[in-house]
Amino acid sequence: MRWVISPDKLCSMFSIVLPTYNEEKNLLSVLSGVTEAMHGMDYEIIIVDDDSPDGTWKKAEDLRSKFSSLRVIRRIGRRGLSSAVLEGFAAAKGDILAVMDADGQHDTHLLPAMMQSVEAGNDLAIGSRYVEGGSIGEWDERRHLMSRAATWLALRLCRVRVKDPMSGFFAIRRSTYERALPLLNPKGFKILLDFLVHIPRGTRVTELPLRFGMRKAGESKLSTAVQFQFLEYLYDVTLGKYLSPFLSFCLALLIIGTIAGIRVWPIRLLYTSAGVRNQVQQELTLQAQTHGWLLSDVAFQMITADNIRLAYHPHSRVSHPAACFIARFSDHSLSSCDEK
Amino acid sequence: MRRKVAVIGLELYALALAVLHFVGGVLTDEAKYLLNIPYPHPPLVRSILGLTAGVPGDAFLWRFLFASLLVQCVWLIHDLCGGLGYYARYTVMIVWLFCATMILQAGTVMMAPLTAVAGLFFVYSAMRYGGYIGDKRSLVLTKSGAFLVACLWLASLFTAYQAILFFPLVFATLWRASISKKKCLVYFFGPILVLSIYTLSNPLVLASMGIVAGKDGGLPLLTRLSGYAKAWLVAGDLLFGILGAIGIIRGRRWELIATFIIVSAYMIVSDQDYYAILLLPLLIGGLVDVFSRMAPRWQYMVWALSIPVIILFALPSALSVFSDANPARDSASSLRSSVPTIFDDPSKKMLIVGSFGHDWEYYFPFAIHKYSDALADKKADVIACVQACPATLKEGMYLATAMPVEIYVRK
Repeated sequence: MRWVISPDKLCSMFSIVLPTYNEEKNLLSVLSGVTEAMHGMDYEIIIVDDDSPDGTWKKAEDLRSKFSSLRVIRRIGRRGLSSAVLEGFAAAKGDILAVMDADGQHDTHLLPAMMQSVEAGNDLAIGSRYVEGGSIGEWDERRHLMSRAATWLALRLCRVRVKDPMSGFFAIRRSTYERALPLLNPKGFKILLDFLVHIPRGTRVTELPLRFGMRKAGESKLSTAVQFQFLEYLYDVTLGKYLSPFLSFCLALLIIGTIAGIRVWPIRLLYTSAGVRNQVQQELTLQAQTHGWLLSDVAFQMITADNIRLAYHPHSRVSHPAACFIARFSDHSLSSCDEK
Repeated sequence: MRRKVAVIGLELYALALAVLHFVGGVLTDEAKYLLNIPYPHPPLVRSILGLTAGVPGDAFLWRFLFASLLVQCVWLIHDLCGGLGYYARYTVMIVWLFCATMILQAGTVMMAPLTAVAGLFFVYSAMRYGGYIGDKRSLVLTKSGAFLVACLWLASLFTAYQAILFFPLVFATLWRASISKKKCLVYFFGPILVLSIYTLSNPLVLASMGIVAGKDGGLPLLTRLSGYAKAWLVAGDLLFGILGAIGIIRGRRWELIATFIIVSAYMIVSDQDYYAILLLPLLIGGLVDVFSRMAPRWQYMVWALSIPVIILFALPSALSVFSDANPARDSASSLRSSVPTIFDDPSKKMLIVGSFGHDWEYYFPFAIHKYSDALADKKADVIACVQACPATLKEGMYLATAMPVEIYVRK
């Protein structure tokens, strides 16, 4: 699908942010595509590169002579797609801010339509793979399934109804971006989702059909670490709002410690009184020999100065009933816990 | 596609390992975990195993799952060796997959292989984050990464006590992570503290530790050292054991060196064959370091595949784990075929004379009692004479025929 928009209908300035990492080979074709699509409009392109080992930032610097609207930010010691986008937005001059991937998978011809859509009154325009006319291109079944599962999870969190909250191709009104900015959690690679989670209900959002293309060169960034970051993000914006990982860890320790502590307290004499410990040892040995118990089938429930309350439960692949007994130190008698 | 094939291939290998160990039946230590008997280890994994105690084929299922976990861990090594050459990467992976200790232990339902998995993860974390691999600076562990390491630390400690041996690696990883030092201390010491409280709640664990320490204490030093040498041999396939140890020392990672010393000392003290697998992740760490300084050739891959076979055949005692003789299993199966009705009523009482293992509890559905003189006049429905039975016990009983152990059944 090709969008034909008359440039004179658009009067805002547009900033298009391209976060990059090892995209040196794709850069020229993507920049040419954007320039062609935005011809005649007031726009700037901002490349935010995370100090790519393949020298993407260097290539981008070199291309500035060819693309006058191009600006380059090289980030050293900082990584992550979402934070790169926000850094690009912070440096942008435009009234409408857009993001797209620099790997050639996003159709640059959709840019003017997205811009026009925001100019026309929408706060957010999304290039969507899941609306009519859009497609996921030639993804394999595994990636398709993963994307659908991630989308399903993400949709539970969005404050505005959309079909593709995981898209990396969108345009946003500057005022909408600035309102959401203090709430954002730029972790991972899904900045649109972060906006959708934090923008006010009632924000006007539109989705335009995007036919997802094939990566032109280089490797996908969808690593296990990125998938983990997504789950981490989901945790952050749900349970994490109330309980950080550290606090949940402390809580788990507290629960385990309390449960174990509750079991230790009734048998504390075993550790605090050498006399009781000796008596318990003798009594247990005697009772085990008398009744043929295996020590591994016996568990202490309570130890007092006079007796032991113990549970006897034979281990087997078939369930045997457990029995509770009280063994008295004075006369070495053993009685059921039910007896008075 | 290549990765899919690799995963399926690894699963087939895991299946083969599980089948190898299945032949010998469930051994006493395995039965202890499968029946969730509350010692010597904390409850996390054994209580999960205990959930399937009544399910037919439970032992095989867990053998396969444990073996799968171990062989699929090779992807961690694949990632760790990403910066090394082709032969280096695949040699280290082959050493993990096919070393003698892996063949001997990956299909067992024991806690040592699980600790080795945790150990490999700790080695991976320590080398991948905050240190150096060769000359390349590795990554910094994030808050979430530190949280994950802490969770694994907690889980591994509550799976088996021996996980504590890897504490230098865990501490170093957490200390270098981008978290505050207070958080680091909570992540590190918190699990140890709650494990200590749990241990106090289960005196059987403390008693069993005392008994084992007493038994091991009597062994001569030479026996212990030769036991350790054997473990080191099966863990590192001689050549890679030497290279791994060189890598550990030359890499100058104090956490890896300290863990290696602690694990080695523990193995010398405890003298158990199955602890050999605890050395493996450390030797893998050492190998990664060595291969980041020297590029091995294809011959190393061939050696990594062939040396384990030679070692296994040179150490016939190691192969005893695959023995198909299992008195408890064979007795239960013979009794089931000669007196099938007796198994219909699990409330029957079984008395065993002599020393026996938990495998008897696994294979017989009855409540098992251990004979002592005080029980000479007690009536049991089934008596197994692992040692000679007193004549009085046999009164009113008949001897079941064709049993590997003398078994008497009440008339």
